[in-house]
Amino acid sequence: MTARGARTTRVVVRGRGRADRGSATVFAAAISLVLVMAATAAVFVVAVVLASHRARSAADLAALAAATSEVGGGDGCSAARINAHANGAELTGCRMTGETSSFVVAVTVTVQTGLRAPLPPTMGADAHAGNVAG
Amino acid sequence: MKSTRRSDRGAVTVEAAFASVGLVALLAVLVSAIGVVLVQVQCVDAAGAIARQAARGDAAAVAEAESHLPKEGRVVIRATATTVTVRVEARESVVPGSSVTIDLAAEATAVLEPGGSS
Repeated sequence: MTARGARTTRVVVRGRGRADRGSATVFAAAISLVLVMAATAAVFVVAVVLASHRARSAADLAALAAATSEVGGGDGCSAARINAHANGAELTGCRMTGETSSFVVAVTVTVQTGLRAPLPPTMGADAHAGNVAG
Repeated sequence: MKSTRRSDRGAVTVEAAFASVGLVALLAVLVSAIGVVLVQVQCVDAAGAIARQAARGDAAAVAEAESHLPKEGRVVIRATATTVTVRVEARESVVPGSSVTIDLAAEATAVLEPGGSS
């Protein structure tokens, strides 16, 4: 597509003659370049959006896993870590407040975006969960 | 381009037409690629939501979450003694209307909650 665009000339606008020859080539090349740049930017945005949705989901499920484990007398944060891993995320924070009878666990997870440093390499999300009262 | 001025004209028009078609096709592919990713995002969200409800053993909520699937989406729920894994699969055309499709899938695993039976 681009190769074809690069060879393109356009029917000259009335009255201007041969001097315009090749201007269409530049035009087509410029449009192709803009499209390619837009596509590249879109890939970055897409990677970030996907990772943030996965992080959101993983954070919710990890917090619930932690709360479930804690209610059952287990270690909430290690349950959260295992669950986050199962969902392709990394547990980066886990804080338990309150006692077993009434607690809130706050977790933070990150998901790799697959991008390099100047762009966000990971996306995070946090969530909290507790036990059902009563 | 060995032809004379006048007969060159039509050829140039044809080339310009090809170039336009090419650019439009490229744009169409880019736009539909964005559509594919949106479906993937839907899969991720649906898998998470269904897993969360399945872990609670709430069949009605699972059914509600399943109503937000991408079109022609499929749900596979696997449960172990302590966890439930939900896989949402969808198939999306690479270019709208074409038979070239791409398979998308997302998985989410949740820990079964006490009293919840999926």
